[in-house]
Amino acid sequence: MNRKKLYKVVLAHVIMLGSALPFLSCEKHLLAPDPPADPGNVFEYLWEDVYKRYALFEVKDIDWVAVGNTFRTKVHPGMDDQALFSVLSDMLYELRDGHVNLTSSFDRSRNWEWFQGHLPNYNQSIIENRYLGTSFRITGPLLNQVIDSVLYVNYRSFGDEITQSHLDQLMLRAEGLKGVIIDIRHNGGGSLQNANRLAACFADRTYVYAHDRIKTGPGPDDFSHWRPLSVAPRQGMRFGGPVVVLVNRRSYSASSFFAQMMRVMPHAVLIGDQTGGGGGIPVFGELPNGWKYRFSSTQTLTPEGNHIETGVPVDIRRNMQSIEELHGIDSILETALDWLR
Amino acid sequence: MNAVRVFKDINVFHSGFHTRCILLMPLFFLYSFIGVGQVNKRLELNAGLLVSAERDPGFSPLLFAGTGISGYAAYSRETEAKSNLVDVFYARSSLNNRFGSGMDVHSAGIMVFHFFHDGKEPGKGLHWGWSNNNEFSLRNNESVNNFNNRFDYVTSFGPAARFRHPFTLFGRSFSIQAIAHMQLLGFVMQSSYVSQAPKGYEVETVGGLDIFRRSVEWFYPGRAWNIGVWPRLQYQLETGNLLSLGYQYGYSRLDGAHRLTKSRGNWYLGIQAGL
Repeated sequence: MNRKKLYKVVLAHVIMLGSALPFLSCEKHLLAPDPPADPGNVFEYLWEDVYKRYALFEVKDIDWVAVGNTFRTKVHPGMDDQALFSVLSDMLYELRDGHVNLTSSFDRSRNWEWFQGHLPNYNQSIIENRYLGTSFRITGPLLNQVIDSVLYVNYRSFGDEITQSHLDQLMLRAEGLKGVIIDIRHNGGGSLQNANRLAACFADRTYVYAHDRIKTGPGPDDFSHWRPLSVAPRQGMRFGGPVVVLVNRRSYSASSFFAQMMRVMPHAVLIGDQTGGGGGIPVFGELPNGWKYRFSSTQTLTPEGNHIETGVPVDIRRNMQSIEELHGIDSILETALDWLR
Repeated sequence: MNAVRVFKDINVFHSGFHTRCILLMPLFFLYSFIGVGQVNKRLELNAGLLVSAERDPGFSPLLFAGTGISGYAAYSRETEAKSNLVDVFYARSSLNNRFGSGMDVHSAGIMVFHFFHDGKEPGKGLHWGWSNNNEFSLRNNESVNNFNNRFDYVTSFGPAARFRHPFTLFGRSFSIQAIAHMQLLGFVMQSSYVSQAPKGYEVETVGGLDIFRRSVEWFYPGRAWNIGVWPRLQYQLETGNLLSLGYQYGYSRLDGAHRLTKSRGNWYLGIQAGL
């Protein structure tokens, strides 16, 4: 190999390695660094993300710019995590939304005004002692018992999955009975899929129960078109008789959606107190300091034009009566049984 | 007048133009593999370790970095005049941000290269050509309950260059090769501002192809970037098969509802056999 050729080979290798070296094992460093996690920047990041992606300012008549101006003055460099968390939590509290939380390693902010200050209207001990008794069935997450030829179903969380086989068993048990009571009081929500599955057991046709729209951009009017939400009849066994859904202020989120699904069916009634709401599906985010948060990014309207966020009204308003409760009687459940008799 | 303005002026953004372009893509592939004369066909299998960093502001402003695994199968076909390479790949990585939150990323795709030898030896020197990248990527953030599984899909075209240099060391045959590509024009479909679904699901459509058409956006410099550098060292076995040790670096940026950025390096070992 002559000297000229050797130079060429060496040069080729240098070019080869040179083209690769900037990238070798420094993948992370070729992207922009993380944003600063100082209190001021963390505050601005959260305020701005809520400003751009929160869907219910107009519904709740909230001036987020004014809220930001109020709380911005409370943030200063060097404040500790607890103090910053407190300011951010207080700011988010102004959204009056149960789907809004800020989560750090030491606390989780929340606004529970949707049930706090209202009558509980539910007593689990009474349900267990008087109505479920000892011979009730546990069909997946659905506790059920036949009371006076009525199937009573108690569902504690829409986060607990209902399978088709659970529903087959439930429909088999309801066959020939006078009616079905679905008790979702104190059910704080979970998966809409479970709500749809359960409601489909009572649908005799497809019902459009609401319309929703989602934020599609940072502007206040950047929303998708209104998309119909529907519940279709279940494939397999269904129950065509009267259905009562028991709700209270602690029936939230997926429970409100389920209540609205049932409310549009002519053979179903809602008894108790209105639901707590929770009509906005939460989007999740993370702050530059690693704290997580969520807030509503959709709006949901009933066919009458009411926002599910403000709660689903009942057909028959009924509170638990203190004296009856003392005697172990659930006034709301008794109203449902009377209605079905 | 910038590129965006030009495209808007000829009114292709809101027409069926890009849908037709996508439907015509298979013809590009077919054209690439039409050739005559002496043909050298090879199949290559690679397995690698992925080092990756990604940022999807739809989830978090923080960078997620970590490692994963990859698998590649490549088919190459060389004639005197040109060479083609089709690279089918899958990669999976588990990434974390500096606070420990996790995100799993799955990527799969097909990358096509087409190099013209322009009278030079196929196995030596610099060859220019073009490339086509088709990649789907899915991100699952473990702390997100709704609107999770954000995705992006890219089909793009751009120039490519390949440098090959064979050499002998201790009486054995080696070669080094580097491929570089830069994607310039194509199509993108990705998760929207809040939802994981593409834009077409957020506007009123007549369904089917209309949803697809409204979800597709242009890929062009300034709005999207994708470059790659793939150096590797090959050793020829006595059987004629080749063993490879290589590294594939790729950087991509998509400016959609959020600015998605990715930087990935893949160290791999492979074997190549003649067909």
